[in-house]
Amino acid sequence: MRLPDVDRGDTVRSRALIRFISVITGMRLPDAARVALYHADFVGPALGAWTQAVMRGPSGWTVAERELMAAMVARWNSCAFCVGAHRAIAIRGLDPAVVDACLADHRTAPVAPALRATLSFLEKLTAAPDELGADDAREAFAAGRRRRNWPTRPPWRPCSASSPATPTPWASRCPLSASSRSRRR
Amino acid sequence: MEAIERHRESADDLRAALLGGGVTDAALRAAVAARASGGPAVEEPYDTLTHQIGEAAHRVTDAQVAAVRDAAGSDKAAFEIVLSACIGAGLARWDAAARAIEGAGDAAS
Repeated sequence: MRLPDVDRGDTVRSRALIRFISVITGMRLPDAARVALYHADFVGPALGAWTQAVMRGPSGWTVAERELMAAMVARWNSCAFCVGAHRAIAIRGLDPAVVDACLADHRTAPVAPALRATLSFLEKLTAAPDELGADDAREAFAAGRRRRNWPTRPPWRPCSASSPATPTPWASRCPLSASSRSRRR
Repeated sequence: MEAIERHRESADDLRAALLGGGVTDAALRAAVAARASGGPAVEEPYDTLTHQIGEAAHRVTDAQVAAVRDAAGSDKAAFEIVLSACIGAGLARWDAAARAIEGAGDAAS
């Protein structure tokens, strides 16, 4: 069920915004957005700031890779809406076939060892956080070190996606590399 | 500042926001957040919904939400209970990840 007050908005501003966006886009504003607009003096600002830092702040992962991670977590949480929302952004920077292969099974998807190991870490974190330990983190970090040794562009990666501190040799040839680098900030 | 320290500050900010303000009793919100991460049971009907959110949120039923809405007395209060459970489950995962990363020691550097 939807809580009616969340559905319609709790302030004049949020109600107007919900109506405006729905009219402009020609579709019902998704529930996730209504939740984000609701009761704005509660946890919203803190949650939003952290989310923004994680998903768009400085990171060794590109925005697309982070969105893929979010889509995977949504998949493990069985949230179809969130899978779709994060997948839609992930494919702006990653091959859609690779993203879908990952969503099917990241263990067999053609992704770099560092990303695969990180996804395995996130899977355990999502499904069995009490079982997560230092060995899981070590495994992911070890895969990250191996990643730096990749000498050539993997066939699955459409543009640069490594740490800014370790620019990939193919980055300058990738037509999307400049925008990818700017989004990594 | 190390990335993990920045995230720890964000986690602290979120914990503070969860327990500040609001229309429901902060103690209930704290108990609900703890329950969603495997803590002790809280009073019904909050316990059933909170436990369900912590275990498998996609299986939450209309009846569970409606019962909490009735007990809490308003949509805003029910919203705070739901968010408290969600954030409790999320922060428990953050804590687990931070412990694992810090436990890995030099491997993280």
